[in-house]
Amino acid sequence: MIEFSHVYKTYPGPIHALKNIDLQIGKGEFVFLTGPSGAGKTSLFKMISAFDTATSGLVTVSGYNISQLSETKVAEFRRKIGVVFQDFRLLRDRTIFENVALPLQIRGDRPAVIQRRVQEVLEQVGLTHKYDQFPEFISGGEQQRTAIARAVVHQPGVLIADEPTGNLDPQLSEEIMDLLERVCSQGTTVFVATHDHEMVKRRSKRVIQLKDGLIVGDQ
Amino acid sequence: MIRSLFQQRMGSLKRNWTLQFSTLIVVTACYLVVCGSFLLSQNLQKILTVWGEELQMTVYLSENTESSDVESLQKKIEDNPNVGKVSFVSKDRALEDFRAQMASYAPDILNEKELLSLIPASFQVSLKESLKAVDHVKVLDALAGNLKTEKSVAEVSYGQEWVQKYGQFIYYFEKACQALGIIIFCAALFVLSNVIRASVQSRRQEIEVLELIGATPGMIRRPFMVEGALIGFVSSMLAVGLCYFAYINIVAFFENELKFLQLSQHLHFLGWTLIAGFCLAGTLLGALGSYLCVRQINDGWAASSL
Repeated sequence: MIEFSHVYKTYPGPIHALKNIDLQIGKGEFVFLTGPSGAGKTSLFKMISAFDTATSGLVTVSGYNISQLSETKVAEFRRKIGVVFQDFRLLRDRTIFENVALPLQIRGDRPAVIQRRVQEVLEQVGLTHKYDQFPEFISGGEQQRTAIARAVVHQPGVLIADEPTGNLDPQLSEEIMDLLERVCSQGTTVFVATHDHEMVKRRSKRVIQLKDGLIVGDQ
Repeated sequence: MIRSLFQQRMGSLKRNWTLQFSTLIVVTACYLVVCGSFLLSQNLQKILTVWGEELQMTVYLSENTESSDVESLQKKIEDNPNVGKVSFVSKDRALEDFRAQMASYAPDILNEKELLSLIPASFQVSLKESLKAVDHVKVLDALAGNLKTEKSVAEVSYGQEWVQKYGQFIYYFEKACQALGIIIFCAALFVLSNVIRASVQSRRQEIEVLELIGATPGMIRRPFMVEGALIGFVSSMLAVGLCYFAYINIVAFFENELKFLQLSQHLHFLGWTLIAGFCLAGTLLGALGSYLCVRQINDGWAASSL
C-alpha cells in the first residue's frame, strides 16, 4: 500500500531530511512512526500525502507514483487517502456535519448519499449529537474525532495521522487510538506518527523508528 | 451546477458575513470614487462644451460687395464640415440692430451718420454642436485664416484672445482629467487588490483543507471567483446608486440655489450603456482579483506548511 524505495530528500542548505529510505507497509496494517524532532517524520508524511516529492528514489502510495503526479492527479490521489493532523485543521465556519461532508462533496456525491454516509461515520466516532455544532464549541478530543471522521468518510485506502494525540490528555489519546484501530480493522492502512512511546508500547503494533533521516528500527 | 455554485457562495457569504461586509464596503468606496470622478469629469466637459458652443465668428464684408460674391462666400462657409449655422446680416439689418441696442445707452451716437455708414454687412458663423470643445480654437483659427484671403472679406472677428484662453483651459482640463483618472483608477485597483488579498488570505486554511481532501485547483478557485464577482457586482451597483443619489441632490441644488447659472439643464447622469459597462467591469475586476489572489495560495502544494 505504501512503498519507499531508496528515497532521499534534501532541502536547500543542504539539509538531508531523509536518507536511503526503504519501506513497505501492506494493506490493512497499523504502523507507528516514531523518532525525535527533526528525524524526518514530517518529510516522510509530506511525501505520502503528495505535499512534497522525493529528491531521488521512488514513493508509491495506493498504486500512485507520487513523483509523477500531475496537478489533477494529485487531487485524485488525495481523494483516496485520509490525513489527520495534531491541530485538527477543521473549518471553523462550518458545522461538524459540514466539515465531515467536505470530502464527499468534493467527490461529487449526491446529497442523499452524503447525508447517509456522514451520519454513519459520526455514529462511529460518537458525535451524532454534535452534528450541528461548530468546532470551537466542542472539546479537543471531539475536534480530533471530527478530523478522523472527515479523514475516513470517503473510505480511503490509507490513513496517515501526524501526532493525532499531541494536543490531547492521556485518556482522550487512548480513545483516539482506539478509534484509529477500529478504522484499521475495517481494512484501511493506518500510519501514525507519535512521540508517545508509552502508548506505542501498550499497543503492540509495528513500529518504525527514524533518526537523522535514517530508519534505525522496524519491529 | 451554476445554481449549486451560487448557493454554495451565498452560504459562504453568510458564514463570513463580517469579513465580506467589510470587503464590500471598501470595494464600494473604491468604485464610488471611480464612478464619481467619471461623472464629474463628464459633466464638466459637457458644461465647457456648452460654453464653447456659444462661440461665434463674425465675418465682416467689404464695402460694395456684389450679391453674387456674398452668395458664393456663404456657400463656401457652409461647405466647411465644422460649420453648423451661417446667417447673413445685411448692412441695413446691422444698422437696425445697432440702433436698437444703442437707443437707450448712447442715443447721441445715432446722429453720427458718417459713423453709421461704416457699419458693414456680415455673416454670423456658429460651429457644429458635435464638435469637441478642445477642437474649437483650431477650427476657428483655420476658418478665419481661410476667409481672410477672400477679396470680399474685410475683417474676421471671433474674440481671439478669449478663445485662445478657453482653448488652453480646455486642453489642460482634459489632460488633468486623464491624469487624475489614471491615478484614481490605480489607487482604486491597489486598494481593491489589497482588500481581496486580505479577504482570501484570511481563508487560507480553508484553501489548504480543500487541497488536502482532494479538491482540484478549479474547484477551489471557482467559488472564490464567483464570490469576488458577486462582491464586484453588488459594489458597482451600490456605487452607481450612491452616485445617482449625489447627482440628483446636486442638480436640485443648482436648480434652487444657483438657478442664474442655468447649469442644471446641462447636467446629465451616466447613460445606460456606461452604467452597464461600469457594472460589468466592476464584476470582472472582482472575479479577476479573487482569482489572482487564490492562485497565489492554491499552487497545488499550498498546504506545504504541514
